[in-house]
Amino acid sequence: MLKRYGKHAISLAIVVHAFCFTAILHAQTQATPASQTKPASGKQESSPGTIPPANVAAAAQNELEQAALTDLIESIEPYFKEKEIKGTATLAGSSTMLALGKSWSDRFKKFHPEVTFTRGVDGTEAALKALADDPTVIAGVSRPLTDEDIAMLKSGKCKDPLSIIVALDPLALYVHKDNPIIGITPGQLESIFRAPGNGVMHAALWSDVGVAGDIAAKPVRIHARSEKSGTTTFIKQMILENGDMAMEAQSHKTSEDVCKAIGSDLQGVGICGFGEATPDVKAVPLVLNGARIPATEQAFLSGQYPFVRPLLLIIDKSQMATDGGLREAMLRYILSRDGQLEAVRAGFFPMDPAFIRQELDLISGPQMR
Amino acid sequence: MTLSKLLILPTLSAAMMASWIDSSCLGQGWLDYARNAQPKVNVGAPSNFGATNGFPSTAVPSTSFPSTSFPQTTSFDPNMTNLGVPNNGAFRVGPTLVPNRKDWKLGVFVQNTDIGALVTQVAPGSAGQQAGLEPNDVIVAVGGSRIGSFDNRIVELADELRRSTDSFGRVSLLVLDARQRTLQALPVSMNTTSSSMTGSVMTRDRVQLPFGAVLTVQLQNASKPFYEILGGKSVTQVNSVAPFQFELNFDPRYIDPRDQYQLIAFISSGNTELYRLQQPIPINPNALGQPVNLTLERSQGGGLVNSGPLPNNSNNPGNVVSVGYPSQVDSNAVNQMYFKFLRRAPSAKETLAWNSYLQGGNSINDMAAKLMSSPQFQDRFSNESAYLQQVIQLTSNRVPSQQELSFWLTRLQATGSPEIVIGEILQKN
Repeated sequence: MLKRYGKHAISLAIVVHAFCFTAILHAQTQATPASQTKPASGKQESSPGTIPPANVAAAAQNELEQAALTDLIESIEPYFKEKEIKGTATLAGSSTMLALGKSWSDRFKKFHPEVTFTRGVDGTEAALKALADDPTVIAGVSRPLTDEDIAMLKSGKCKDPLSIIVALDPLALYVHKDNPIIGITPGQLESIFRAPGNGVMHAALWSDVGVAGDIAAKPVRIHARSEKSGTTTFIKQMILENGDMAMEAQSHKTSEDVCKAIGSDLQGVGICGFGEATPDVKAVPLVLNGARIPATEQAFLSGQYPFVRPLLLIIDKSQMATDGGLREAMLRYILSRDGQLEAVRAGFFPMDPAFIRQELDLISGPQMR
Repeated sequence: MTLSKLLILPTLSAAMMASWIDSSCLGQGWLDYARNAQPKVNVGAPSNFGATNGFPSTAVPSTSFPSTSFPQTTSFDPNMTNLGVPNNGAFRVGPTLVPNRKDWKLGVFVQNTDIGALVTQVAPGSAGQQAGLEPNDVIVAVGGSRIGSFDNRIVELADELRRSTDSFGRVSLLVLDARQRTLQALPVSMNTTSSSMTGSVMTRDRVQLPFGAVLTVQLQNASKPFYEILGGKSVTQVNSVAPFQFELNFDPRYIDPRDQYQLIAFISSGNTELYRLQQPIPINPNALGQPVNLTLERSQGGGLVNSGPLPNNSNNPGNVVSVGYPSQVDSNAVNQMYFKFLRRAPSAKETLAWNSYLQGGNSINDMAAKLMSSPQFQDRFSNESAYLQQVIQLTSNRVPSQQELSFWLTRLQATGSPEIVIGEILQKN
């Protein structure tokens, strides 16, 4: 057997970097191509106890999706309790990650009752700072790490940061349901959100992103959450490369409010969580090399619609030698079948089993195939 | 194109990981994927199951009982109108075939590259070593399927071994030999660490089953219902009339001799349960290898487990819970909860995740508490007061007084944990 964390382990800088967003793309090998699927969460009208004929195809489709999903879930191994574990850990992080972390730790404690998790500081930046000050902290972050983050951690006491993607939060571009737009290219997407300036392509009107009809000559109105929200930070990081974001027409307190506002604004556009769609909005398919990829559950699971915010846990790897196996077991649980289902129950997406295997190689050392 | 930033090849090659890939291949990979993507396991087409893998079907149809004795009046109701539970029709879920395969080990350590799985180490005495695999060899394909990281995805050696190996542990590899620099087809005979449990299933009235009926047999940890056993469940299609054979290939590491185990079994069609084992059969963890014969009874209108309206103070005491039968009622309960709390139908994966939760011995009340403390529920409220007001309204069906609200607000701020406060609210109401 290989020595744990031996020379075959990949250097951290690469890990921390590259694991942001890799998950999006590994196409889930079992999933059905998105072009052949319909949204699973769409409203289906049917009287109790019957399936109207029109829904038979949808029911068959659901069965197929269910089969692909079952195969995905069955490909993730259940948690295996290797030994008894005792100890305490502090979990700090974004409110999303604190909530998810609480769910995971509750389930984890069923296997290991003598483990205690305490709640650390709230907020992504504060959590990273806490980890830099105290390497025993586990930081939960709901955005990709930056070079500055890593430098900050290393200049503090967290000399050996290890970042593990633990779940995915799919986002989609939404417009009013009557907006005739049929798809958007990455360039058009960028032009909507990038602030106007020198040599910047900024889509001020709907015609700028190729939309015809009555709406063409009307301004694009962005709906967004506050400057500090994870989603807005994500848009800036991933679409604008930390550039300035165009002024929003309206700022909202919750992601659901963003979706609602778009639903009542014919010229509205915004990015919100995939699960938050209302009947008055529609998700815009991405156009990549001429192919339209609709935002469906399957497209997210298969990595085809890559608009996914990764949720990460960051630990100081050197702690793993002295914590009696707590961090390793906790991460193994999170990447286990129930851990991933727990993420689903909290409203997030599970990861591709193949990607999970790669992460497990990093956490527990290379695993034998 | 900044979206190209989203694409980093998921390979373990350090150089590749560190660099963004060129945007020109951004869409290409996805298109290739869309063309190639096929469900690897033909779970959606049960007739192929077994045949494609050389894996013997565990369902053995019998023709010894006449099927004509099954009167029309007792035909199975596919629409579940007789269950007394409203089906709001939002989503229907039946059990999906789960092939129960042994966990075959080649005995190698690998890194995924764009040409295949690069062997970094071979375990002494392993099947891989006996077949002649050495470090720096690259396993290019397993059973005809390409592996490694390519087209913006990873196809894992372990997953392909699981899918392609026959019931005797044989699989054919395509290997790039490091020394001779040649591609070679390499037949391998692998070892398994799985333990096997076999048995037969009889139905009491021996009527003919409808087309597409499936038999589910599951080994459960009765002491710790949350502790799922790797390979402990098989879902196979059954035809005609009983008896049927089943085989579980579970991982013995998941078995704790100090725990109690049990076997559940049921036959269902669509999401209607047709037959079930009346009582779970207790299984001694030391006698797991012995064959088991099960007799299933006709289900009486489906099993109502873990469902019903949101009751008060019905949390499970500690860990002592009985494991529920998965049934269609669960998915209806999940539907109802989603409409109640999140005002939408659950997605396919959410239905699956919650069914698994409820089958693991958790109550519908537990589910309510979890849903209300989930980020997706909390995100709907702009402040804690609005959030708590909704929580109290949903759990007690009344508008809380200002005094009540400020009490819980104080609790929320003191504990910093919605889960704790929801637990307390559920207990109070």
